[in-house]
Amino acid sequence: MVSRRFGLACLATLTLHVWATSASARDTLVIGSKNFTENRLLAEIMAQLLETRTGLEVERRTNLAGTLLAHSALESGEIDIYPEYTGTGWSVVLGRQAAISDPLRTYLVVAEEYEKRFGIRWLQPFGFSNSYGVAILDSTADRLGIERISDLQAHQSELTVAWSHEFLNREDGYPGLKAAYDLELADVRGMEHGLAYEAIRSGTVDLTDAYTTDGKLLRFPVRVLEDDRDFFPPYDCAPVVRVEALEQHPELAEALAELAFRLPADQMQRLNFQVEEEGRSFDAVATAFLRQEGLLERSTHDGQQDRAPTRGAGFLSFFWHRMPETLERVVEHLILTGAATMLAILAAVPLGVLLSRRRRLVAPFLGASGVIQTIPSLALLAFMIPIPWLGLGARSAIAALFLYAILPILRNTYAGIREVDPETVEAAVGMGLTDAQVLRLVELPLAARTIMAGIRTATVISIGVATLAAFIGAGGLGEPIVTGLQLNDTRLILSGAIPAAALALLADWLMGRIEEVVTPAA
Amino acid sequence: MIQLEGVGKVYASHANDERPIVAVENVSLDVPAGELLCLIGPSGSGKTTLLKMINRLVEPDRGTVRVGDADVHTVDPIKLRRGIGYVIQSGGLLPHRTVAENVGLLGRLEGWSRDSVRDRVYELLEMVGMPPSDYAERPPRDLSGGEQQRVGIARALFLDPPIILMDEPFGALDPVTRSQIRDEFLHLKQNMRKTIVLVTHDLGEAFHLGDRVALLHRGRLLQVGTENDLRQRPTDAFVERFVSGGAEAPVHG
Repeated sequence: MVSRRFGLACLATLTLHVWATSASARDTLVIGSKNFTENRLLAEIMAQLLETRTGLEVERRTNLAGTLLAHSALESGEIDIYPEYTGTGWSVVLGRQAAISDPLRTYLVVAEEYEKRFGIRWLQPFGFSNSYGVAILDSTADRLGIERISDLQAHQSELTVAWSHEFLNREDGYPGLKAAYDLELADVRGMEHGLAYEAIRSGTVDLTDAYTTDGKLLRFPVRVLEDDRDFFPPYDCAPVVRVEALEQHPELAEALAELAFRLPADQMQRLNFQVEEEGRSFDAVATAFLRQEGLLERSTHDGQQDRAPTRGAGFLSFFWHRMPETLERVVEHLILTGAATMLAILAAVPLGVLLSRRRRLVAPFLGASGVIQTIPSLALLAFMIPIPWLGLGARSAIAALFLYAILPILRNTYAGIREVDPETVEAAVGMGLTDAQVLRLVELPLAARTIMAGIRTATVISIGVATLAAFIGAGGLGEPIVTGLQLNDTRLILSGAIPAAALALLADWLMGRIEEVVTPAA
Repeated sequence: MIQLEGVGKVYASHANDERPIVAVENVSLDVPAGELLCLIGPSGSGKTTLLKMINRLVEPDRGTVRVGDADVHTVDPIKLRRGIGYVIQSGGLLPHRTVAENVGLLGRLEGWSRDSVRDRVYELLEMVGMPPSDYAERPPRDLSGGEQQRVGIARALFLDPPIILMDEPFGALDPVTRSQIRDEFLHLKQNMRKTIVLVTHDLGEAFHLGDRVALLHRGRLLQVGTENDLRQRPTDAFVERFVSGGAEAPVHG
């Protein structure tokens, strides 16, 4: 009885926490970003500016996996603002097939359509265009004499190509490029963008897609090929904001107008470089930029020291400096996995009991939960987002983790009950125990060990999969992993991966102990 | 006390091409109060199925079963079973509960106080020859087969039911223990006025324990009577062979 009440209390607390994080009051502004450095840095710059200028509570939802995710989050009101690029709006969001090369026309068309179709307004641009480009290894370019994209045609079978996943699929990416330049490259693969540069440097890859303001271009031995057929549309960057939010907070547009045309391309590239190559935090780079532009009083952000030591420092001191943030991430991680596992127990144990009573349901239910298990984790996370009430963030992550946790618990509950000696059950029934009493006094206690083993498996799986929750803005230990992948920073990746692994081991051990306690000596 | 009237039970066969299996066919039987009736027959003769019809673990397809004066079909099965003790071959004790908890389980479920449950448990353990001070707190796995069976009998007696059903209660025991417990059981039985139906495949046991013996074969009841009746006036060639130990007599003895 005590343990049941305790469990309910835990669940209630978790539910409240999840509620509180997403359904906060409307004088909170949510700034989102896609999952790459520049976009995230711009979000941070806007966030800091709005914090000093408007007094609004600003919440950050960075690292949304891709344009469509960020756009639908904005459209549904999960976020209020994020930085978008005109060319992306043109081809990805509006789905225009026609090529367009005039930046102003692109901006005007996109701005008009967005306002009409989505109730989203394009504010004044930041002042740079981050166009797509094709980056090639210097030595390969020299050896084969390639300067323009059209030169690639003569060397299609000699080149190894790694496109980022988004470029590989979007109309203004490889599919369009292929048609515009009549290309049929022989060896093409998809690769995480941050890793593609490493692959280029090590010589395993010759070509990748690049952003023209990418800080990495300054560090790696690559050059950007000339777009001699004007294929890539202009990608002027500007904040996109929900009109509703603008009407609620007129001071918003006023504050953001201060950023208009403050960031020419070389400036943006330098800021990106500071984060990616000099290892400074988003926070610190954003603050320094705003101060330098005179947009931020020195006194207000003086507490915000650049905590992350530069790249030269050892992992241990790096890890030590990050400890407060790591602990926050651990808590987030535990909330995600704890809530998901607890909900899965509440659903799967009764369902397992039902299956042990209705054998006809066994095949369909175990089959269905098995199928869920085969859906790739990231895809399952993405499926949750359009579902009403789930949306972007913790609730979707919990829903996906919950679905993963069902199978091990369901299967073990069913199997555990079925393995109970039928003679013991028959004796109990023959004595005059009701079905509920047989379940409570005989079957569940004797199946406890097997059920607990299922819960243990589910918990460990959840802790692992929850590292992907960062992709949909749900936080957790995946956050430093995802950021580390973007920044190509192994220490950052490890500072998420090591605690996640430790957490999994700890949970496994802890559940083992609980298993011993709840299992009757039989 | 117990009346079976033309009861029958057919099980669907597992293999599709086989005909359904007739477990019990048109059996009528009367067990007066206070009698110990042994059901005997070779494996698959339907004796266990017949026994389970009395406490509704098996529902007959045809015929009626009466316990007391009521058609069991009209009685809540839980209420019915709490008035009928049930003892099975393996003992069927809950492996995760102590001896005392096993014996007193129904008392707790019936809402007895902790103290009265304990008193009754101790009384019953004394009765089956298992001093509570030694046995009450032990788990079933520490007990020998004979001891487990005694606990099973004590448990069946807890609510002092007028009827007890026993399914091969001594079948899993070694011969020495078996005859010892059997004699203790007979002794116990003389002090209680219970109606008992006991399934066995051991002819000697049936004649030794039973006031009467009912012989079943392939789902049919061939003869009911005392040892004398069956030996002197067998109604059927199979009965004669079975009783003289010639025919498909005890298979797994």
